Amino acid sequence: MGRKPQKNDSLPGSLDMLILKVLSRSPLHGYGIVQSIRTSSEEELIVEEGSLYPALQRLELNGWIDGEWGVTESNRRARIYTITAVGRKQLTRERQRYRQLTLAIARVMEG
Amino acid sequence: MTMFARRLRYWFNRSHRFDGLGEEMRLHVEEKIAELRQQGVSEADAERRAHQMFGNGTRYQEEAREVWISGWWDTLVRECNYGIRSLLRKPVATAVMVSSLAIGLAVTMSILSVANAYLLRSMPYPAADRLYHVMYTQPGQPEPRGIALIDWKAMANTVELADSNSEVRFYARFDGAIQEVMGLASSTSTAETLGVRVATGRYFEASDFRPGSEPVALIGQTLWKNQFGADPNVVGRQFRANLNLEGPLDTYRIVGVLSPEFRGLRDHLHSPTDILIPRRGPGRAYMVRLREGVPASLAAERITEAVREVAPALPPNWKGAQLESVHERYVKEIRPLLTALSIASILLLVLVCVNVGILMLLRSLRRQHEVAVRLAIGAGRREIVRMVTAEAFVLSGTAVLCGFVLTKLSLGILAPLIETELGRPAPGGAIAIGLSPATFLAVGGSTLLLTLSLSFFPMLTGQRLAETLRRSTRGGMGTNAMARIRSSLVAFEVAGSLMLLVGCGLMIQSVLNLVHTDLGYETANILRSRLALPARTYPDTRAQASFYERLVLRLSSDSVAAVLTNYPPFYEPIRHPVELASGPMDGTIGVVAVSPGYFDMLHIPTLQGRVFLEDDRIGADPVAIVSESLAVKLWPNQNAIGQRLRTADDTPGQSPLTSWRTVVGVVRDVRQTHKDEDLRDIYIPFFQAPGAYAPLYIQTNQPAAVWLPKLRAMIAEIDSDVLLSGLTSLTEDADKEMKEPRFLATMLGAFAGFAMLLVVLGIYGVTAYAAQQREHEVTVRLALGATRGSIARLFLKDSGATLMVGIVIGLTAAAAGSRLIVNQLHGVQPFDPLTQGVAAAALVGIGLLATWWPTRRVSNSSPVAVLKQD
Repeated sequence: MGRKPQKNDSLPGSLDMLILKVLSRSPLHGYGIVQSIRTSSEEELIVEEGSLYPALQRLELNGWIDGEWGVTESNRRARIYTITAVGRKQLTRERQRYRQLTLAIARVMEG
Repeated sequence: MTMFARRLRYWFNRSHRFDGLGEEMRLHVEEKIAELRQQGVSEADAERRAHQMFGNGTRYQEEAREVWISGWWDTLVRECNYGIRSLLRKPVATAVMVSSLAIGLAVTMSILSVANAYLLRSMPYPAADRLYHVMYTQPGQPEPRGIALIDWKAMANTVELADSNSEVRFYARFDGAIQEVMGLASSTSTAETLGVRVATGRYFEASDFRPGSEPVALIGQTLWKNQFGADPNVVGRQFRANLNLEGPLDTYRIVGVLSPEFRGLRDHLHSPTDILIPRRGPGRAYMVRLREGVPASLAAERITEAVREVAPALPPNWKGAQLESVHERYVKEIRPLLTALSIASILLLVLVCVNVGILMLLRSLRRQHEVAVRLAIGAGRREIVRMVTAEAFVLSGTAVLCGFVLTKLSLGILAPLIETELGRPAPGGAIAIGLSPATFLAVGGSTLLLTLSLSFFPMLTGQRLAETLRRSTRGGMGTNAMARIRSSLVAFEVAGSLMLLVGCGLMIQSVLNLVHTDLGYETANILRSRLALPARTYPDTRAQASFYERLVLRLSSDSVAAVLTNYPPFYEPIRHPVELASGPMDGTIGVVAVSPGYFDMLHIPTLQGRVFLEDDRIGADPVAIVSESLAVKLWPNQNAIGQRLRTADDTPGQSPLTSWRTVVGVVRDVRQTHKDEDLRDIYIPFFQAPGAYAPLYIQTNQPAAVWLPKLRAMIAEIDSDVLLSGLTSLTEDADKEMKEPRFLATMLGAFAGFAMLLVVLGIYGVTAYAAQQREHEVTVRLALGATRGSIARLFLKDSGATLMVGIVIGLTAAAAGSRLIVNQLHGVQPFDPLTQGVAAAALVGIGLLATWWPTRRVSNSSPVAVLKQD
């Protein structure tokens, strides 16, 4: 009956936030985003890499990022993603929400 | 850009985007492999690990696509597919629903298209919505003098153009015989107001309008083809014609041919303008084009003021000038007919939708088992609603498409027929009777909405369908709420059908009344035409009488009986004041002049005295014949023969009373028209009062087409300057009076028949369902000794109650609705208890039959077999 596949996210929406954060630094293509997340998190955050693509489409549908075909450093055709102005606002919102959430969790865990 | 726009953009590039995503993912994996290789991993291992880390690419690609073309679309497509399959599983029921909807749609869309073409489309003139007829006085009142002097320029801020065009009848000589042709005398502004366009040659120049200049004319396409053989060099050729039969014929030089798109004035829409001439000198402007934004009432006030200024004297009760839009004048007579038909067709379409609603509801109820399974595997109320909606959508969508095609086909065939039935072409021509996108969207869209909402209407009520269905009890009738909805829908259907049926009954009665009206004379085998004698050769009654006598003689030499009258049947005769020996009589009486043989030809029996003879001519004793009713009224208990009376022979109020006449005979009453209620008539001998115009009747069993050239030739033998206008059969003329009522009766009859069929379908479906549900109960009753009759009564009670509610509502609504057709009724009142009773009885009979039929099956089934099922 057209059920949507259940998302298996420990922190809902966190992948979207991470992508926006990474793109806020510089435009990247898909593989570059994964690499960037991996290196910044010092190999702590490892997602199933394919799940990046539906997330990118979702962000694009929301108008937070833009994808344009371009060329990578290794001179290969790839879709390069850029954060939009709306996307930056969204990132700010997400960051705030994230801070409140982690703060709340921390209070519970340390209290 | 909104999310919807982004989705839409994706949708149009979907395969491109899908492939692009695949490429992106491939690149990702390849870069991963390259990275791993750099770290010294073996090729096979790197590939395995890269794919492992990436995950299920196909699934992610699907998931990514679903982000854009989300579940809703996929689900819709799937549900529609499912709906189609499940509808096809019951092909007969589906065909019934789709075809009834399609037919209902086609009927409504066709009728609304016609109504739209007549009532909403504007006339074929430039700025037609600002074009008005000016009426300087009330109908029948004398017009104020001096109107031609109105200073239109002073009103330039209200009236843009004033046009003194007028319809004229030309007597033109073509092929050696005088013919009557429709003409239009145009003013200098007619080219603009009526949008005159010229196909070849030129339009009139200013000098053509100057009195004394050479007469010029533009000719119409029909005349150009018929009389000038479509000669491309017709410009410069000449013809002879005159506006009346008095003066000698003038020679007109043709300056051009009118374009086929030019339609001329109202009457010319029937038969296009043949001759257009410039009007010499000023005339009265009967048509104005208002400035944009000027209301007609304001313009009427201004014109009234202007008339007050120029008119030397105004009638004391003068009410001022009035404006009527050209469109309004053209359609006002047929508006009630078209409105009634439009409303009836919309009612019919609603009935069809209701019927589909009932059948869909029953469908859902019948599928309890399937729904139970769906619910068991986790479907919620939403899913069930979606299932029903998708089915209704597929069903009504198909029907709308079929209805569209049907309408296109039927309008192509019907449009010309409708124009003939309505007696006038659509303002924009037959081509304008087409299905407009607006009509299609409005009718198709509301049908779609109505069917959809009726299909899930049950789910919006207190007791929800899903819950109802979840109970899935055997032997239940659904919940009370469901049963109520079902009954209300059926009652509505009955009420609507009854309205149509009553309307149809009233119209049929009107037509029958007209057909059975005893006119008092025979119309079979009689052709008639009209003669017009030029005044210059026939200056007085003697000369006129001598021509008519010669013509009758000529016809009788071919043994053809011919008579002349001054007023034919199917026209109200001119009424005159009458004076008796005892003094003047109150009121007026219709006076008809007839030549010898008239009573014989029309089979009007003489009751007393004699008919007119050849000797009853000018110079002989003036005589008269009266109708039976008049004789009884004037001379009760006395012999009418020998009594004396006198009457004016000509225009009432203007000519003096003529000499005293002696009554020589009494004939049976006749009706001059079907609706003629005044049977008192006076006949005078035609040859004692002939005129320049006279209808000619000939008795023949040959068709008019055969006789017209023959008659023309005979007249030409005597005098080729005498005009004979078209020949028609008296029976056909009599028929014309019944055209509109008969058309309406036919249409309403078809609607009512269709509606009855729907009632049968609805009641049959509901009872069949109920019977099936109660099969168990019925068999137990039968086993316990119930008779079949008592079983049938069980169901009849239920359906009878519904029927009764429908009938009561329907009768009330019909009484109100009949007012719509009141001006089409003849000899019957809009509220006619007999018609209402008969219609209600017919509907009850059919309803009970539709109930009884499906119960037979249940009472025939074997109790053992039924009980074994459990």
